[in-house]
Amino acid sequence: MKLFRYSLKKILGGLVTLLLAATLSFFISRLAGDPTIQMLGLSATPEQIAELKAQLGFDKPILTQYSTFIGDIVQFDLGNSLYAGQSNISLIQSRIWASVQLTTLAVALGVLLGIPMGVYAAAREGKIVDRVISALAIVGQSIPVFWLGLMLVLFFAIKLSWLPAGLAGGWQNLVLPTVTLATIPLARVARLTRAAMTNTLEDQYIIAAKARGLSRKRVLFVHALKNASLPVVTLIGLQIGTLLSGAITVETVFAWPGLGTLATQAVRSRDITLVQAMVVFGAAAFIVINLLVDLLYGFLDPRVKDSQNK
Amino acid sequence: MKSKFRSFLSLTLWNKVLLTSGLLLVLTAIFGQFLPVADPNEQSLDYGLLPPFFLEGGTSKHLLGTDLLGRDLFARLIYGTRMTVLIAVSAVFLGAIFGTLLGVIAGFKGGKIDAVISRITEAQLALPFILLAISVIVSRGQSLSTLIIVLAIVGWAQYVRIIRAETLSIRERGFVTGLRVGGISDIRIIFFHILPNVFGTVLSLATLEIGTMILAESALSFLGLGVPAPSVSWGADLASGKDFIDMAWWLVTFPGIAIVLTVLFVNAAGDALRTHFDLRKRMF
Amino acid sequence: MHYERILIYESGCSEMIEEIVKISDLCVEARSQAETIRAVNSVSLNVLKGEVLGLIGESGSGKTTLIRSILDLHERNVSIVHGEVFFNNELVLDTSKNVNKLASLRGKHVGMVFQSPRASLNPLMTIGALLDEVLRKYGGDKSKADRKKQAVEILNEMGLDGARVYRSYPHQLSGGMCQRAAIALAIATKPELIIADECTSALDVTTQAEVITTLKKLKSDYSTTLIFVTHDILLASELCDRLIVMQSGNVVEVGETKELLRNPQNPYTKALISSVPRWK
Repeated sequence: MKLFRYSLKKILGGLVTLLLAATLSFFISRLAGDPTIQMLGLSATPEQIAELKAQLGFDKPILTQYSTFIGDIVQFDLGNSLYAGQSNISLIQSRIWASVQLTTLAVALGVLLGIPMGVYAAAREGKIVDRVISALAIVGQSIPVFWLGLMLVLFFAIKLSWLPAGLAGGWQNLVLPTVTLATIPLARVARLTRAAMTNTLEDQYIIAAKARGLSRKRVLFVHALKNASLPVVTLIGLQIGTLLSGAITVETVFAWPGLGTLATQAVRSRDITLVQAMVVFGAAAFIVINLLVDLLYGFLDPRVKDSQNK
Repeated sequence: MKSKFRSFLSLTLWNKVLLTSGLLLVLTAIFGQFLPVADPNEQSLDYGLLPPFFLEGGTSKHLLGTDLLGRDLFARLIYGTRMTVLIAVSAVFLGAIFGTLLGVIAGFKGGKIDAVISRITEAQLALPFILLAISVIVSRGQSLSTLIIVLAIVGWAQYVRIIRAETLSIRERGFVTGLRVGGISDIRIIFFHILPNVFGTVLSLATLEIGTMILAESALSFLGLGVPAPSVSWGADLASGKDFIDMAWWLVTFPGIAIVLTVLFVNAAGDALRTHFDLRKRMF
Repeated sequence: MHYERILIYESGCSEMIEEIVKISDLCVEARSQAETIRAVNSVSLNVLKGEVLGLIGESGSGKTTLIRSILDLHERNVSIVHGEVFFNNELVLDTSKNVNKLASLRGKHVGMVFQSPRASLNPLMTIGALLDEVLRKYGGDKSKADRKKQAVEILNEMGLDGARVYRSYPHQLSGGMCQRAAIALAIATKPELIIADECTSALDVTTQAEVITTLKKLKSDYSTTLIFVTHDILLASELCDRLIVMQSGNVVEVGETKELLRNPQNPYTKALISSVPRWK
């Protein structure tokens, strides 16, 4: 029951945040400038601009535009693309699977490799293994992910011809993009796991567990890791934002037919409604995933439910 | 002058390295155009796609080779420093000021104001950075000011949470209550007592954010959303070099290395600053 | 120094008492960025089987470092540099011969209870889970149901509502309950010696009394030898048969409780005793 109330609170909070985020993005993009000029170019005449504005509904007062916008969102209507002749939602739908595939695999790879690396580094704190892993993690966070993709293509696809760079074919095509994108969560998860583990290993209950004669392995993986993984869980949720942005550039490098390339197409054709729709969609994805993460956290840490319902 | 040099010598070797690199970076950014390098925009179609001087076919006239249009890569790297540093520092400056103020106000005032600010910050953090940048650029067109504003918008929220927490812990310290009881106005307390105390945190966070901004700017430039030609940017170089990756690997390798080295330096400097200000280690 | 003591019980019988722990010339160093200090300086002492030994000193006297040495449970910057330790007449530490089997004493032979009750329990595990883990390792091949029964029994013996505490997480229990659960955890491995490291210092007086009662039970019901580390000399005098006083890493006085309190030889001991406000 406590878990239910905790969940309900979080879900309502998420909805509020989503509406706020949509509002924020609306006003930021509208107040930034006039997209109609961008769309028609510098040589546009005032009549052409006025015509386009009327067509798009941009001549109405901004608050009216806003209420239409929010009204539509609540009904799950993200508007229609200006150039593709489809609703934005159907456009997003057509591309989403490819992106989900890539992103999920990348997160999985990052976590599956990152956590053991972090544990290993913490267990051998100060020794060479630790320094190497920590250095790699720091470098990993300093590299532009799309450049890493290019370098991997250079080595593995061009110089060594081990893996394809293009699109056609099966799972081999997933390898390079996934590995590239995975460096984002991998570096951060490894670093955070290491930090969380070194902190946890100094806690009293770990010493107490050792004092009971429990094996080193057990102390490390059952007692320490359980506690250390909590901040990592939170981190994964927060990483989604960075991952989405990273995915856009990575998809561009590998010409991956996902939401990222859809976004760059939208830019090129100045398709503002599509861009706006994608912003709202991205925010929704972020909020939903973080909600799930929060719920997972509440499930993993028994202290949370009790403190929420005081 | 002499005493400054002496205090420089007393720093650890690592800190000296950092300081010198930083100085080099800033000097290149500001005075790069006066160096004896070619014009980065000078096209010379006869000399297109030349490899770096240490490879066969390269010349010492173009140390790192040229791109399709014959433009010297080394010169482009030097000139690109200015764009990178300028954009990143400006964006961080704007974002930090805005974010810090909001964070301090939220932490100091608490209550409804805190709740509102926190909610808005959460909402901002939910918005995906590149997509938000795209929506602004589509409205506003590409320019230097657009890019800086976009990055500032994306970056301000990072400061709020941390500065708010810092402000809360400062408030707990008691002397703030004393000041309020003493009748000092809130604004004075914020500006003369709280802000100086969070300054260290802000500085080290800002330095880390410069690294993030550099990566963000290069990503946007890579996608073609950066400052248009004739401005020189490392990210844009990567974009144009991408199509020739099989013929001219140097075009994608060196600009990337420049980015990585700069970000590594900035992160190292941020770490050093953080140690200097003796802050609690943060895991993120 | 090697001595056997003859203890006279009220009934008048006498027995030869063995030593369970014998420490010779133990030196432990603590390294910090600025300097290295001797936390424990050439300490020799012994612990007699079945007794309750009090180890008294102010903070910084080295008492915690000393007893942590028995299980080799120091922080990263602390290390044993010299000494010999015998457990039940078996050599477990000899620095000159590079022998260090102290870790093998953990759990099986020696148990420990720590100062902060909640901090020594894993916040993400129920007391039951913690007990089960220990019983599985030390209890032979019992079924899960048997282990649960045994765990609840031990908790009941400690004065707790066994069934309820078994299901609870540390944050759901009071400080005193946590400490008694920690004692249950320590006794569950059936060790011959239990070290209580300032385990009452973080508790209020009423709860302290409850925990002391529980500790007394360990001696009476389980015949466990007990080392009680504290800065509170009054508390130690209630519980302990013998007292060892430490100051700045050295042992300054050893003696039977009543005798030592009545007739302290060392000036530091005298000062410690006289600084306690007397009620009687």
